[in-house]
Amino acid sequence: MRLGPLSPPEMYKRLTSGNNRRANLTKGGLSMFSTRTGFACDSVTEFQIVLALGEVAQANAQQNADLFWALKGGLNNFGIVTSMKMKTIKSSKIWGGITYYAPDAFSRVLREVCDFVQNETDQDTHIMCSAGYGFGHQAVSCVMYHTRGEENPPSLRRFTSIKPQIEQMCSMRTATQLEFGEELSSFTKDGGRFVPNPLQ
Amino acid sequence: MGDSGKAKVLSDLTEVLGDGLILPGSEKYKQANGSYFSAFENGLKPWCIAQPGDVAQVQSLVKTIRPHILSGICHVAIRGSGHTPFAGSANIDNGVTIDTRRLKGITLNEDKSIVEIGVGETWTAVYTQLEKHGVTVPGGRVGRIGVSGFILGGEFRCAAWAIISA
Repeated sequence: MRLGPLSPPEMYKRLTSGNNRRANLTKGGLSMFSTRTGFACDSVTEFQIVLALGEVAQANAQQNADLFWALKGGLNNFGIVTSMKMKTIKSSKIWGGITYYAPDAFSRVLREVCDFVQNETDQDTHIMCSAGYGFGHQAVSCVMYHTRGEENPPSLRRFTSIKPQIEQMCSMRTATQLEFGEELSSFTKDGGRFVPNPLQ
Repeated sequence: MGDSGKAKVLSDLTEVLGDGLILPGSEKYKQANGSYFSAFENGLKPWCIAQPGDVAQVQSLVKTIRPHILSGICHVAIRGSGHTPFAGSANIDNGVTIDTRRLKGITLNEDKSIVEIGVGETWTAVYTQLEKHGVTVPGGRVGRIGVSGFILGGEFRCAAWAIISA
């Protein structure tokens, strides 16, 4: 990832400033828990890294704290990171999946995204809205999760109530993070040619 | 970057890595160099792909290649799962690509509050292991992505789609 001509520390500062949800980013290590726990790198407590002289260093809040800070956005520019420690959270059932809409629902979906970003206070939700075009078809989708497993919670009803949906393609159900991760994995494969185009 | 310089780099690295040094023309090279998320990365052709199997080998690799980098003979790229899409982000023409995907390991501490993850793991592997113990981590939404680039840099999941994320 590159965010223009920014140094990694500056990039990290910008990525993590303010309310994460309002940062409105498609990048920065977003997880389905990010509204509550921040970027994924915020849960890292330590990196192990091999530096330019070949020595192994630990970088955490006490030891090599500047490196610890810089690696959260520093990619492969400071050495070869070999492992990392992360804080865990309790694993529980999650309600979520993908809802597909007919193309003409796009403006309504977009309005609801704005409302969600600006007004929603439920910290256990996460959404990704997409408008896609491929093979002659258009579709609008909303990937959404309630990470405490509440089925069709009030915070997501603004999306679940939009019609018409392409119901045979929708996958809203209760499952685990592993299962939801596998679901999204099935949408991409290696070796493609594309240009990322996130709307900010 | 003369051929003699390149030959010296390759022979020095072979000494350190043995079978962990992958050379052009082999099936392993074709497989490893063709396993990036974007075709722009697959299109680059490094002199060799170095696959250290543990931290000690990473250290030896760095110590061995350092003088060659300082003398201007070669450059290196470092890759994890290879998901960052632009050419040169984790692969290199006429240089050495250090492939960290063999650095595995998912280890929970005793009270299950902290997990140590090798950079060669994917989120699918991490969630599979952790869910057996009733915990997880706030990692990637897409399971097939590697942990290293996601944590150290960020995440793309865009393909032909324009995405709004909140």
